[in-house]
Amino acid sequence: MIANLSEVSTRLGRIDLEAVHQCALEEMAQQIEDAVRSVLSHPPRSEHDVPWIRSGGLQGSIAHEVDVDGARIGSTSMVALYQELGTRNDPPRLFLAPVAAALGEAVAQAIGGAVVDAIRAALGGDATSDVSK
Amino acid sequence: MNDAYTIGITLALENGVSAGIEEIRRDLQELNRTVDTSIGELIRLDTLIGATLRAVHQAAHESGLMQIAEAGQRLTARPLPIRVSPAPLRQVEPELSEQPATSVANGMPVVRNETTASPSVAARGEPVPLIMHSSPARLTLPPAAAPPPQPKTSLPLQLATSQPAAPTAQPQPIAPSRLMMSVNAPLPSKADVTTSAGYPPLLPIAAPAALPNTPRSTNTVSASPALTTFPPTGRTQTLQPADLAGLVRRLAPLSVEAPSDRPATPSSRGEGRVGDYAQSTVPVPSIGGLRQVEGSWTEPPYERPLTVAPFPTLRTPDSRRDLRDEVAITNVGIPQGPAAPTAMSAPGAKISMTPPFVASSTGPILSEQNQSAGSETGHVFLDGQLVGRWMREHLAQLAARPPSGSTGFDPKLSMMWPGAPIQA
Repeated sequence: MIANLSEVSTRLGRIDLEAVHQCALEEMAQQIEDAVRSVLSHPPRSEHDVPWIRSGGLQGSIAHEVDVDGARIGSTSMVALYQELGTRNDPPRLFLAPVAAALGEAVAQAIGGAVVDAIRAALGGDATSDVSK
Repeated sequence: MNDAYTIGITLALENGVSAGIEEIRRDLQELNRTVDTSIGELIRLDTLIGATLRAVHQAAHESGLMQIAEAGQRLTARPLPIRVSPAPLRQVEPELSEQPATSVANGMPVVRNETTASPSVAARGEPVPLIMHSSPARLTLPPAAAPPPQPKTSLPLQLATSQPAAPTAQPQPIAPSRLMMSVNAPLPSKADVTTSAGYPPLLPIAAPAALPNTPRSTNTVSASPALTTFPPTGRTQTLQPADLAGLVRRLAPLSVEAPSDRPATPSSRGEGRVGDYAQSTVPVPSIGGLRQVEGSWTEPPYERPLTVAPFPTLRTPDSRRDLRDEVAITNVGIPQGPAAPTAMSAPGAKISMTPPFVASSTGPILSEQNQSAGSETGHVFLDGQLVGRWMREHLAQLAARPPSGSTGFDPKLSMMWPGAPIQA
């Protein structure tokens, strides 16, 4: 229960939005990474719209990193670049862009919901309420 | 950010929430400061008001206003019942009273007998002048113990002549319209004289005693002083021409039976004088026109004489105009001012008159009289026969006109079809 406006202002000032953002981004980046790894798990001689898994090197090269302003999910392998963009002999087989397009809205809502929960928790409200409302 | 990724997905977070929260915090802090300032002001005002109220309360207590306020609050909480004194009863006239008569002896109401009529004044032998006398008439009312007038069973008022009637005479229930004619005064009353046979008279039953003193309308026949004088004795009277001068003067448009011998001339402002009537344009009716019958007056039924203007024989262009003029003025009935239906000046009195139209023989001249008398209404009757003739003439004139315009279609003026021979 809020006693006065000064307490409201104080509680609002106590919210660590950077930590909230980083935590939310970390969670979302992990989800995206898992989704990319699941896309690179198609065995050979199956549908070849996505890269086949042969040695698992490409799948293992997928990683993510999170900072204050954002997150990045990618691969350090050149094969990932060739598969995503295509070469002179091989057509592009997208495995990052479809995952980003499918999970972009959900990632935004999840991060916004995390901020709202943090504000409610700071002001004494129910932090477990539905953030989508 | 690690740039080792050859390809990847970047989640860029544009943090606007922190700025918003910071703005909200600043507003809240400013609002908090304002509230704190307001609270301080309110506290200061509260202190001032408290001091003022204490001073006012002290002054009111010293001046005695507190006691008055407390008394007002007590009155508001428990209002006193308001008592309204009843209005004083109005003294009701005995003739207008419908309350049961009270016996003087014991003060108990007297039981009325509705079927019996109270004895008239004449039956009691009290000399009462006739109401139609020129002298101030006096209406003798039954005493308070007498039963009140009952409709259709007893007489509303009893009138008696100066001559005492027989002691054995008993009042008979009569119709109210013929009241004054058939009970104790067989003499013709004013209403009977001035009323034709088709309009039963309505006598001033309510207050006949006020008739002589009441200002009368000039349009009422009974306003003539000479007419209201009747000898009190005798059951059959002979009306003298001098007495009926005013009556004839005003009844002339109503019942015209004997036209005057001398030519009519416009009359001046005469009011019921013989000399004025001699100069009047209204034909003099004979005395026999007003037939006096024992106990009642009867007059011949009113008939509007049929007057048709002669159709012009000369068929000239001006004949139609003359015909229209004749149609316009022929058979014109002009309402007579003195004979127009008017209410008597007595309160509650009504009188019915003959139809307010007169024959057309003296129409134009009577119109001047009416103008002098102040009449503003008139009726124009168009004879249907004359109108039909005028219509026939008009239609015949239209039919006789030569036709104008094209009478047919000339095929020579139409277009030529291909191959048709061209004629020179």
